[in-house]
Formats: sequence, structure tokens, C-alpha cells
Amino acid sequence: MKSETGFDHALFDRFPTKDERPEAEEEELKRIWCAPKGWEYLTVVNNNYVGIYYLGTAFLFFLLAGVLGLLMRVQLAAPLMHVLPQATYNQVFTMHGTVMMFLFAVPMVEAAGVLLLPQMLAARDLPFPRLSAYAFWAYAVGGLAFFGSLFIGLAPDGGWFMYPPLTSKAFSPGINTDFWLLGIGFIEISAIAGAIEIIVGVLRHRAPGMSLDKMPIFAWAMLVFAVMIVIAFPSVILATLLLEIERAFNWPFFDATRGGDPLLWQHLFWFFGHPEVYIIFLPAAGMMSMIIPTVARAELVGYRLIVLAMVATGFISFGVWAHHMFATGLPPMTAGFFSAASMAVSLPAGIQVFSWIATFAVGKPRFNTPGLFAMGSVVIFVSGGLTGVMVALVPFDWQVHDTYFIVAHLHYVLIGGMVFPLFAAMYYWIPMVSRRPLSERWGRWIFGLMFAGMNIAFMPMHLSGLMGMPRRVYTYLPGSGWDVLNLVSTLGAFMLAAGVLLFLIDMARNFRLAPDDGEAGNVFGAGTLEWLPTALYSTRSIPVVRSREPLWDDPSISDNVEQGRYFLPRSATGRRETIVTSPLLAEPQYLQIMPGPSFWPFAAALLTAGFFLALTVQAYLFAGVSAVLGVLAVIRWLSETDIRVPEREVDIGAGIRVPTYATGPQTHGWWAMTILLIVLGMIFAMALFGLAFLWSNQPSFWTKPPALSGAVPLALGYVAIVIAAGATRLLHRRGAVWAVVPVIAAAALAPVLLWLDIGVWLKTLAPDASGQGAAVYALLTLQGMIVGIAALMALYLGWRKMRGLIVDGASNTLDLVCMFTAYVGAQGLVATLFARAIGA
Amino acid sequence: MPTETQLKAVLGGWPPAVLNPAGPYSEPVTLLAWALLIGGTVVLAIVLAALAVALWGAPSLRRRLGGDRAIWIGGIAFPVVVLTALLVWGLWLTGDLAAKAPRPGEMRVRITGEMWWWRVAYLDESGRTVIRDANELHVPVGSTVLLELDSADVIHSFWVPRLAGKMNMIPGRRNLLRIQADQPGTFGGQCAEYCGGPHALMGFAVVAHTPESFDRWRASRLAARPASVTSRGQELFMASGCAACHTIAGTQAAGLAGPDLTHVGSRRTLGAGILPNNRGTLAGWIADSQTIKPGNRMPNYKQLDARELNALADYLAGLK
Amino acid sequence: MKTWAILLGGLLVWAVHFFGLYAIAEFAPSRMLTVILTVPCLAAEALLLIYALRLDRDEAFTRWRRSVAVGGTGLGLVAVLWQALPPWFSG
Repeated sequence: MKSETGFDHALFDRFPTKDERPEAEEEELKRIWCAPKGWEYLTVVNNNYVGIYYLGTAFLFFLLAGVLGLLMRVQLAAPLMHVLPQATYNQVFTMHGTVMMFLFAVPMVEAAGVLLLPQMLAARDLPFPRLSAYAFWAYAVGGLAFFGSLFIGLAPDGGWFMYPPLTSKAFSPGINTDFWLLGIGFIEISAIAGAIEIIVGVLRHRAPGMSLDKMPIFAWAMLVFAVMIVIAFPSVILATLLLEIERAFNWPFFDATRGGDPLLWQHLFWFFGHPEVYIIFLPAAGMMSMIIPTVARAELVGYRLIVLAMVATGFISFGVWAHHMFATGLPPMTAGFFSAASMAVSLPAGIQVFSWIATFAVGKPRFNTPGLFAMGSVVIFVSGGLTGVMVALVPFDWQVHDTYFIVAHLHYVLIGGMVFPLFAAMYYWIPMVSRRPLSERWGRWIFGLMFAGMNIAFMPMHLSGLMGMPRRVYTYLPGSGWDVLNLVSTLGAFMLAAGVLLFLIDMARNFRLAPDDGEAGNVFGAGTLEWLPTALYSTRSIPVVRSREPLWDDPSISDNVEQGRYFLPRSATGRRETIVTSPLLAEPQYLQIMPGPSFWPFAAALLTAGFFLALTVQAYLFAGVSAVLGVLAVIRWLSETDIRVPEREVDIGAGIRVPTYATGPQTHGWWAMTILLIVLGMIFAMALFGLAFLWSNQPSFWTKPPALSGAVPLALGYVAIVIAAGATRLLHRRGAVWAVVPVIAAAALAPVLLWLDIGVWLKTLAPDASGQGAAVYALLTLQGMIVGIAALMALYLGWRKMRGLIVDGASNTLDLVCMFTAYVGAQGLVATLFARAIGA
Repeated sequence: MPTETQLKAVLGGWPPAVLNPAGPYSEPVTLLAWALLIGGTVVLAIVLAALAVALWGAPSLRRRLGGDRAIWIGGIAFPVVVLTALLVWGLWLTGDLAAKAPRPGEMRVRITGEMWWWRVAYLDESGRTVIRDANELHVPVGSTVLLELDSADVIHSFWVPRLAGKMNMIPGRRNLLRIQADQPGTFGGQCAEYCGGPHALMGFAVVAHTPESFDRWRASRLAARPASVTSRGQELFMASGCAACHTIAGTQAAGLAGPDLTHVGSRRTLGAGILPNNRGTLAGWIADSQTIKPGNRMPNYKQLDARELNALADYLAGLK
Repeated sequence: MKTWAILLGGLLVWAVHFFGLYAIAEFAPSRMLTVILTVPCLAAEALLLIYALRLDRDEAFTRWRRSVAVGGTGLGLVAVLWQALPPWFSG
């Protein structure tokens, strides 16, 4: 095989080794990856713990949002019920959607990734364990506080889609809407952090030999999922930022009377919102593609087609956002493009469904609980997919849009595409972390109740929609003919809930966490690596992967792994570590030293939550203090990273030696920074789109921007920043002691340039004068944010330099600061020119 | 005080409105809807049958299903063919139904979504308002009517399912929707875009008349209202502050915030499609509209006693 | 990079085509422009498909790479063709 990195694949044949490994090695691994005690549970960063915390919290939100759904069903059981007053109902349906989408679905699948991926890839952990811990705590604390707003009647009430102008200050003067905007802030942060973690983890932490074509399908799903988050979430991050600015400072982004446009919000929201559905669906589909082969006792049919389907979904789902806007008066040609793409995105879904059916057909399917949930999922998801094709047709959508037909459609898609696979996954993987599996006998009842309840609840809604019942109504009038259907739906909803309740009881009976040892194990006889015997350090040794189902193809692999006959049977440096491999063919490249438990990610998360919540209730002093302390906590946590060990190179097994420190484009840090810059670039690109969109839709409000020619000095300054950042990296590699000077000077120049640019604009246009003003100053605000971050980074770099931590010819900290600063220059350049070019 | 049983829907009943078209702008969509619903059911049945064969079928059948070929046929080739046909149908129909500029001599009506009712203005050729009304639209059978939809506050959505698909009413935009009723009758609708508060209670009715009856209706609306004899009800109307928000042509009442009441007595419903219109419901609405439709912009007038309410209701019910 | 380009090429062309069409519809609606965009995109999909079909399939990895590339360009081709339709139905 042609090597990717120059690594000789023949070396893989040295494994499994024949020698006996000393007992002490395993003892040392146990000591290094030891379990927490007492308060230490707050400082753990190991994916085995963070993953479980994450899953538990996300499932709690599923239950909470489910209860809200039941409340709604009670209120709608008959016409003119008085269970929930109108204002409460509006908060409850808003929270039901928001919590299900943002606090349950995305975190749940992300949590599954955090828990399962290292096991499936046979890595010791994900690449940035402290980032995982931070993301989890920010989400848990922020999410619970956000949910709490419901109990004090301050929950948002504008719908989970939060359309302005209903959510603008004029029509929503209370802080309910701010709770939504800032509450979503946590989820955005934790989703992006998780996405970075997962992309780098899947591409760089695979067991040696696990080339892309041997990767478990769940890892593919999570890779596409994470890339989609990186592309889609920036849009909602920007949208929430703009709406909050509009509410707080009166910049009219969405106010049509002042040159804003309410449709700008819809474009930004749905550019995120529709891919979001696939963001939720793909990991669940990946779980299905892992579970079904085991249940059917056969290899997955059409692995290649499924990979293709997942990647294609990732692309095409970005061309369907405006199908939520067919009734906004889009020109027929525009609507047509979105209709065509909406059709195209159903093809990959069809491929996956038929692959699953084909896998059942070649195997000997077992009707155990994971199998039942997987089969049920196919039935429900296909039904939802078919109504999805229906609403992709513009004229039909004009009729059923915003009716209960859509409520039925989306619940079929999401329950069939995500909730049922999730229950299948819980039944399937719980033996991996629990001493006892869940009860199969109960499982059948639970599946039966949930499957029947789901259909009884949502099937009638197709009809009530066709009968004219709109969505988001807190009640309806007698004589509409909708009452019987609604009563049936309510009964079905309670049946579904009864199934979930039984599941909870069975969890209480049988679920006993065994993070260290003694889990029930491979009770279903699966073939992938997560079923290797593991402890807190994951597997004793990291196997060479030679097929997609190693446990089926090599019956001795478990034993050999357990005996330490593969890679890294010990800690090579006496610290937490894992092997970083190449992205395509998974050839070992270097040993990553991983950070251990720390209090600081937890503290930083608490302070982040404190910052957002204080902003919401307008306690600005407290917000400021939290922000400063939060930044300090992050710096404290970072100061323990990017470390070097005395050993420059170590033996990772069978005499194969790799370095313990690497720099440049091949490192995990470089990859993570690149992804972060793509996120920032997407946020910025969306802001550019916003400016162009307002210009195209509200030309009468346009003011002539300052002359492009006047921006030449600024542009030169920004180019100088990019050059200086590059120069620092080059000089440092050449060994210049003062190499950090250019990049620190560049970070100092950036605010000056921004200040000058703002000065020019203030002479032309005020931010609250028009949509144009708001959009231009939004670009400058974004620039201001990254200028601030670059300044912090420059200070941190200077501090590390003074402490003597930037040594040798290469340093990751220095590289990453240079990358970020160069990006600051590039974004500043584009912002300066673009704002002057639009409508010039 | 109206009891809840007096609240009644203007929309609903059997057969489902979407499948029971009453004009040329909904009929082709109903045909498409039937094709989709039946076709979808057939495809679902095929997939379920395939799943059943995969799980319980004879080994020979299962072998045929278990391979890349099944995926290529079932998951790729079949959908491509069906979806291409559907896409062409949908695109053609979209272009056909989308309303463009007014046709010469076509009736034009501007409908403005308000929190939580509908302002209706009948326009002449030059776009000037000639008749003002609220919460219902009168049209002649057999002619197209071009609706110009806009909003005074937040986004609403105009939807009368038996006549046409829905169209949003968006601040700063004017969306066009063409409708035509082919049979006389009343066609209900309800705001379809969540607009806060009592969004659930924002109904609308289209009343289709035979051409002769429509001409009579129109003439009655265009006729100058005779200077009315002062009544106790009218005095109360002026004295209680009603005139600050409502207009009654021929009186000093010229408020613009709420619905025009010049012909309120002849409307089918009260409170935007939620109460039948009679003296009892009028009095009840004035006294306690906040219980009937919580959050609506009209305050309760509990300070009026029963006699005063009756006088006021008599007066308003008489404004035919 | 080359492997990623092979795996994603067909879908990347789809993305260029889709966002190009959206930009045309949003900022400069014209049927002619959509044709000028569609023709090279279709040609690119076709060429990529031919290229993908002729890729090596000597090992598990290259076989896998080839079939994902063929599928991606095939799907991209269908999606681009579908997207080329709307301008001809909007009068």
C-alpha cells in the first residue's frame, strides 16, 4: 500500500507481539487514568465520565421537554381548555421546541460521540479533554438556568424560531426573548467546542491501520455531523448576536421601517435550522448502521454508499433552508431551486434506508430490543421522509405550511430519525458502561408503547393539518371538527410517555455504572472496537485495525489487546497520552501528551454561564467580573498545556518510535485552530451576506459609503498584520530570540486600524440610522471581538516567552497565535473593503 | 356575557378544507395533494413490504434484497424517476399559481395583518381605498381577485385553504395572492404564522356572492351613510372613548387603531372570526373582550352597566 | 488533499452551482445567467464522473475511494440537473 506519511505499513505485521508484558505497566496505566474521588468528580476530563455526564444531562432535558409536550397535549385535548393560560402555553411550546432541539438533540448526539468515539477508534481519549469538560459544564449550568426561566414566567415566548419583529423590543419588551438569545449562547459554544473535538478526534485519533474505508460508520456520521456544525452554527451565532444587539442598542437589522428586513433573520436562522435537522439525524443514522449489522449478524450492506449518503447529506442539506420560507413570497425561480435541492436531499436518506433493509435481508435478524427500535425507526422515519418530499413541492407546501401536517411530519422525522435510534442505541450500548444490561422483557413493552403511542399521537395530526388547524395555537374553537383528532393525539402522547416512564424505571432497576471494570460487555456479539475490554484508560493496548469488524474477523484480538500485544501497552512518558495518526490511512505520527483533570475548565464554564445569565438580567457589573475571571480561568487551564517531556522520541510498541512533540500543519492543535478560524470565517461571511442582502432588499435606505480609495492605507495596514504574523513563525523557526515581536506588534496594530475605520464610518452613518448602518457596524463589531482575542493571545504569548516556555525552533503556542493574528488581518481587510464596495 | 359555547369556528368541518377546493387556485393543488398522499402511501407500503421480506421472507427473496443492487434500484433509481416527475409538476404549478401584477379590470383588495385581526381595504384601479372593512372579504363568484398582503406589526399569514395556499404578511413587503371562488358561500381561514398572544384566535372569512348579489353588496357599501339620528348608543360610543380607535363613517368617530365599524352590524363574526355577531355577543365583547380573547388590544369596558351595554350593542348591531 | 478532492469533487461542484444560482436569484435574477452557470457545472460533473470511473481500484482503500467518488459525482449530476429546471418554469 502506498504510504501517506512515509510510514512503512509492513511494520504493522509486527503485531500482535509475542512477548509477555510486565504487570507493572498496567498498574501504571491504572494510576495515571485513576478514577476521581469526592469533589474530583467536578474536575474529571476523561471521556468516560464527561460522556456519561453529558448523556445524562441531555436525557434529563428530553424528559423535561417531553413533559412540556404533554402539557401542550392536555391543553389541546379539547377545544377551549383552561389547563394552560395563553401566555403560559406560548412559553411552553417555545421551550418545548427550543429544549428538544438545542438542549436535548444536539447535545445528546454530541455526548454519544464523546462517550463512544474514543472506544470505537481505540484512542485513550478525545484530543482536547479539557475542552470537552468545559463544553459540558457550560451547557449543563447554562441549560438548567435557561430552563429555570419557565418557573418564573420569564421563558421566551416567540417560538423556537424567534422571528422578528415579534421578538424585537417593540413587540417583546420583556427579558423573555433575551433569555432565549443568551441561553442559546451556551449551546452554541458547547456545540462548536464539541465539533472541533470530534473532527480532530475522528481524523487524527484512529487506531493505526484504520484507514477511512475501515472507519466505523458511526465515526463517519460524527465527522459529517461535526463539519456541519462548523458550517451551520455560525449562522445562528450571528443571528442571535444581531437580534440581541438590535434589542439592546436599537440597531435596526430586522426593522423594515428603518431599512432592516425581517426576512434576513429567517435566512440566517434556517441556514442553520434546516441543516440542524440533519445534524441530529446523521449521528442517529450512524448508530442505526452500527446496530443493525449486529442485530442482523451480518456486515453492513452498502458501506460505501452509506458513507457517500452521509457526505452528500452534509452538502445538500445546506441548499434547502428556504423551503421553510416558501410562503414568504419568494420568487418562483428561487423557490424552485430550494425545491429541487429538497428533493435531492431525500436521495441519500433513501440509500440508507435500503442499506438497512438489505442488511436485515442478508443476515439472521434478531428481534431483541435494539433490533425492535431499529426496525420501528425505519417505519417511522420513512413515513416522515415521504411527507417531507410532499412539502418540498412548493404548491403543496403553500397549503400545509405552518399547519399540524408539518407538526406530524417533523415529529415523524425526528422521532423516527433520532429518538428511536437513540433508544436502540441506549439498549445496545448500555452493557458497555453498565454492570447489567436493561431488561429485554420490559424492552418489548417499552418499544410497543412508544411505537404505538407515537403513531397514535402524530398520525391524526396529518389530518388535522389538512383540515386547516394551524400550528402554535393555544386552543381552538368548537365546530372546527378538530376535537376528536386532537383527543386521540393526546391519548397517543400519554402512551408514548408511558413507554418512556417504564424505560426510566428499568434504568433505575438495572443501570449500574461501571466506568472502571465489570461492565456487562459484548452481550449482542458486535464486531467493532468499542466492545474490546476496557478500563478508564480505554484499551490496554491500541490494536492495529485490518478490517471494519475486527472482533468478528480476528477472534483473538480481544485477548491480544488485553495482554498488551499491540501499540502503546504502557504509558511511554508516565503521563496521559495517545497516538496521533494520519487522516487518510491512520499511520502513527506522534504521541500526544494529554492534559489530566483540572478544576479550571469547570470554573471557566461556571463563569461563562454567569456572564451570559448576568447579561440577560442586565447585571452588567457581575457580567464584567465573570468575563474577566472566566478569561483568567481559561488562561490558567491553557498554561498547563503545550508541554514537552524530556523524552524526544519514544517506543510505542514493537520498536516503532515516534516523537512526543510535533509542530506545524500535521498537529492536532493546528487542525483545531484551522477549524476555529473556519467558524469565525463563516460568522463573518454570514455578516457580509447580511449587508449584501439588505442592500439588495432595501435599496431605498442606502447611504453612499465612504470612498474605496480612502481605505488604501487601512488595507495596507491589514496586509502588514498578515505578513508580520507569518514573519514571526518564520523567524522563530530560524531561531531568532525576538521572533515574537512582529506578531505582538501586529496584534497591537489591529485595534488602531479598527479605530481609524470606525472613525471614518462615524462621519457617514450611525449604527442605529438604518439597516445598512447596523450591518456595517456589525462587521466592525465582529472585527472588534477578534481584535480583542488576538490581544489576549499576544499577551499570553509574551507571558509564555518571558517564562521561557517558548523554546526551540518550533512552538505550537506561537504557531497558533500567529495563525489567529493573520486571520485578524485578513478579516479586517475584507471588512474594510466590502463595507465600502456594497452600494458604492 | 357570551358563554364559550357561543364561540365558533369559521373554518373546519368535513371534508378537510385542503382536499375540498372551491376555486381554480386551490383545485390543482388538491389534485397534487391526492397524488402525493396516495403515492406516498403506496411507497410506504412498498418499503414496509421490503422490510417484512427482509425480516421474514423466503431465503430466495431475501437474497435478492440483500445487496448493493437493491439499494441502487430502491434507494436511487426509483426515487430519481419519481422525484423528477414530481419536481417538474411542482415547478410548473408553482409558476402557474404564483400571482404577478394585477390584470386590467381585476378586483384588488389590500389586506393588512394586525395583532390580531385583519384590516381590509378594497382598492380602485389606481390603488385608492374605496371601501374599508375588517375580518371578512366579499368577492363575486367566478372572477379573480388580487390580494395585496402586508402587515402593520409582526408577521402574519393569510390562509383560506379552500381558495388558495397561504401567503405571509411581512412588514416592509407587499405579497400578492390571487384567489377565485367558483361557488357562493363562506370560506373560513385563520392566521397561520405565529404572531404572539392570541394568534390562535385570529380568524377570517371570505364571502363569495353571485355577481348580482355582489353588486348589491358593493353598492350598499359605496352609498353615503345618511347622517344618523343620534341615539343613546351612539352617544355612549362617543363618550366612552370607542371613537379613539374605531371609525364609523358619517360620525366623528375616526380612530384608526382598531377595525372600522361602519358596517359592523352586517359582519358574519366578531373578534376576528371567533364569535357569531349579534347584540348579545356585541355587548359581551365590549364588556369583557379580554376573557374571550386574552391579550387583544381592546380594553374591557366593565364600567358600563347592562343598560348602557345594551344601548351600545343596539347601536352597533344596527350599523348594517 | 488529492484524496479529499476525489471524494468530495462532485458535491463541491454541486455546492458551487447551488450557491451560484441562489446568488443570481437574489441579486441579479436572469435565466441567461443561470444557463451560463449551469453548463460549465454540468460539464465539470461529467468530466469528474469520467475521471472517477477511471480511478485505480487495486486495493481496498482505492476501491472504496473510487466508489464514493463515482457516487458523489453521480448524485451531484442529478442534483445539478434538477436545479437547472426551475428557471424554465417561472415564466
